[in-house]
Amino acid sequence: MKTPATAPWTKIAFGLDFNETGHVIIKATRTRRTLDFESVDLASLATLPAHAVLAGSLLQKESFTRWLAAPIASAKKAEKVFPSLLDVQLPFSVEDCEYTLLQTRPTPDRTGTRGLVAGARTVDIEKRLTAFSALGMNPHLLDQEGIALWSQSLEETPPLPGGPELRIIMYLSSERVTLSIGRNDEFLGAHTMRQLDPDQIHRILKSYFPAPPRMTQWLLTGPIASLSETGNSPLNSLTQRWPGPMKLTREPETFLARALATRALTPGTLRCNLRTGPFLHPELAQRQAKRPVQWAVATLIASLLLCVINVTWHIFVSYRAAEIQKNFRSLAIEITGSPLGIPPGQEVLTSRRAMEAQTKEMEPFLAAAGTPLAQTLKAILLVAQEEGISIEALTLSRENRVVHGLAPKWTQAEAAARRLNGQGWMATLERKESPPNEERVAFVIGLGHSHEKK
Amino acid sequence: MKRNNHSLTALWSAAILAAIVGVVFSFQSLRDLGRTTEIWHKRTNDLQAMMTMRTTAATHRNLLELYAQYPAAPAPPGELARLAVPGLILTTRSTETHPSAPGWTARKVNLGLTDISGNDLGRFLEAVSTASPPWAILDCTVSASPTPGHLAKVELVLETVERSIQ
Repeated sequence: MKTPATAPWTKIAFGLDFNETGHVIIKATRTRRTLDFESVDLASLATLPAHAVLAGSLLQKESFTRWLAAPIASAKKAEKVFPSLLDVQLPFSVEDCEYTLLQTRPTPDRTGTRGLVAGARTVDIEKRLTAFSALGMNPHLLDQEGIALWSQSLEETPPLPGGPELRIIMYLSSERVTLSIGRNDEFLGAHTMRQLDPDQIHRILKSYFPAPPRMTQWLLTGPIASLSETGNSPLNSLTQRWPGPMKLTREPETFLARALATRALTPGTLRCNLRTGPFLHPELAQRQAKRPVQWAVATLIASLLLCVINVTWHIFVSYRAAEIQKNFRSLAIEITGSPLGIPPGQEVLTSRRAMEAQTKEMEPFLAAAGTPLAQTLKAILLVAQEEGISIEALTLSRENRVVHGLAPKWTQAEAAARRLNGQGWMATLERKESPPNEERVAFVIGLGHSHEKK
Repeated sequence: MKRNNHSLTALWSAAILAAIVGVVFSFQSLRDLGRTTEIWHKRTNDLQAMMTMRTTAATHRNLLELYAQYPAAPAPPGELARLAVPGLILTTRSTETHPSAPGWTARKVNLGLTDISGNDLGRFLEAVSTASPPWAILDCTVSASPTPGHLAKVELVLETVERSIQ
């Protein structure tokens, strides 16, 4: 199980930049979207607020970072061989270390995997914890200095597209100078020295970049960081060999403490805690022990919720089915006029049969309620009289309405058909052969209801 | 520690059991979903058909209520003809009855009218169709008369409903 490197359960973290000559403590409080920072003194750490965490760091000289490359494309498989590769790279046994894998990336040709590992010898961790203990402190998290400097620089000064390719964070204090080096947003390595030595820094940078890139960004930080030096200062000699802008970070004296507190509170890349294994803080150990229980409870709750949702769904479906059935029954009773003779589940069929029988019985009533043929006849006779046509035969029934007639001229038959059309009929006019010795024009008009129109 | 481990094992067992039940339940629900949707779709269609039938049944009830207010039977066509078109020659060819809605009998009459003008025919049909209860004209066939202004022959089929004699 991976040791937590951040403390998402808390809103307060203390970052402690502590060395032989002094200490800087920053209290970070998480609000909705931001972190608020304030400097506090050692006395305020005597009693930590509930759930607050204290984050310290291993100095660069007490720890290491390494990029490892495995010729395996699968990151998960590569993770398994990294310990062996690390063992080869270290001047001491990997069993004497606590280490953590911070990041994996595919190699440029995508046939292998690179992994960034941070670690420290157990003796150095013990020593560091003893030093903290002498101050009366027991940090929950032990970060790695070089990595912390790098990630905070990205947080506070994000790299700009088209900006300097090489970025160097230089932490300056009275007893050490730590360099954190990266290309664009990728951490390359970290180094430390007792005092500012431009030639050594030049050699270190040459090991990463045989020739200086187009532009280098220098970020100075730490308790004694300053840009005031001019002339032949060591910093100037460096910018002459590795040209690029050099600037101070915001509040450089609290930068590292701020980095430690930020990393303890917020998840992100390169989060690191080297207080692992036997050195794990008791509170974190307790939380870690609780984690399987929490997972089990969460799984149980989720599973029960799933069961409840399904049961609710089934109940809902059954309830709706019963409700619809009830509606069917009451409708069937209303339609058939009696609750008897309606077998459950056959309401529709029973109603349909009852309606068929009822409609047949009601046919004489419905016939009288339909369009009266008397009015149709009246309308036809009136049109015939006004258009001067004589009716030879007329058939009117519900299905059939046909007029056989004789008109002095065809136009009069057409006018009669038009007028009947105008009264809401669909009149179809057809010319017929006139009887012998008949000068008038014979025709047939068929009448359909307008809704019969196709 | 051992007790804790036992509790954790029990908790995981319960969680896994609940998860299995939940997943099985979900699969069952998903499997039934298509069938349930189909049934609901059919039920919705059935419900619409039932609503239409209810409207038709209500129309039938209203008609019966209306007919209940009419006299038990309409005046016969011969009497209506005498009142509407005095002197009209009317021949009843056949009469048949058959049962209609409960308590009602349908009566169908075939009539023949001879030598009648268009206006008289209109008056007669108006009289039968406005009788209480009305006569429905099911069929009307008119053949022309050689006499100008007259229609030679009219065959009529009329139908009405009257209360059944208990």
